[in-house]
Amino acid sequence: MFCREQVAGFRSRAAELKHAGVKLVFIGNGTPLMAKDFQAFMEVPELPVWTDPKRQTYRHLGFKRGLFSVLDLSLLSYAKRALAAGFRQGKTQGDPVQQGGVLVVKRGGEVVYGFASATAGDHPPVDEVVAKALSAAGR
Amino acid sequence: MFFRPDAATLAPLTVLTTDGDTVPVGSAWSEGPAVLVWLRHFG
Repeated sequence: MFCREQVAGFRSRAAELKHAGVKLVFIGNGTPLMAKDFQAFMEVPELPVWTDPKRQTYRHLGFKRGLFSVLDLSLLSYAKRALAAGFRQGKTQGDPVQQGGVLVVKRGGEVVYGFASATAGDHPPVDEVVAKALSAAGR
Repeated sequence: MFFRPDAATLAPLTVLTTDGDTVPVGSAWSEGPAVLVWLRHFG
């Protein structure tokens, strides 16, 4: 549910990012087939959906993982938000206790924005991320 | 939680495309800025 919510949020700004020359990439941790199914379900055929089945990038970035990362009271408010927006939980395809995050990286490799989710549904505001990306693109 | 990781050490790590091809994460920002969204899972 939260993954769908997050992808939908960025999908709504994808054209703007593309116009500015910003590449938008989603990374999950299931199999390539799961990534392909998710790409089709989310109707983002033009956007790269990569997968890291061994979660080496997740570990490298220090993203949270474990049961305690999904047992957090703030999860209730995030779930209320996502449900109110019409998102529903699908079959989990990947690691159910892995958390994610968002990076904005300038050409050449300077990280200008980084956010690591504390729990499921803890996402940075899309507007904030897009603003950083557009700034990184000189817009 | 905000953080600023080192992209230089992240760049050579590889992931898979939907076709199963291997790509380095750093290829995302090789030609311009990139937004990378690590999802919890595909669900």
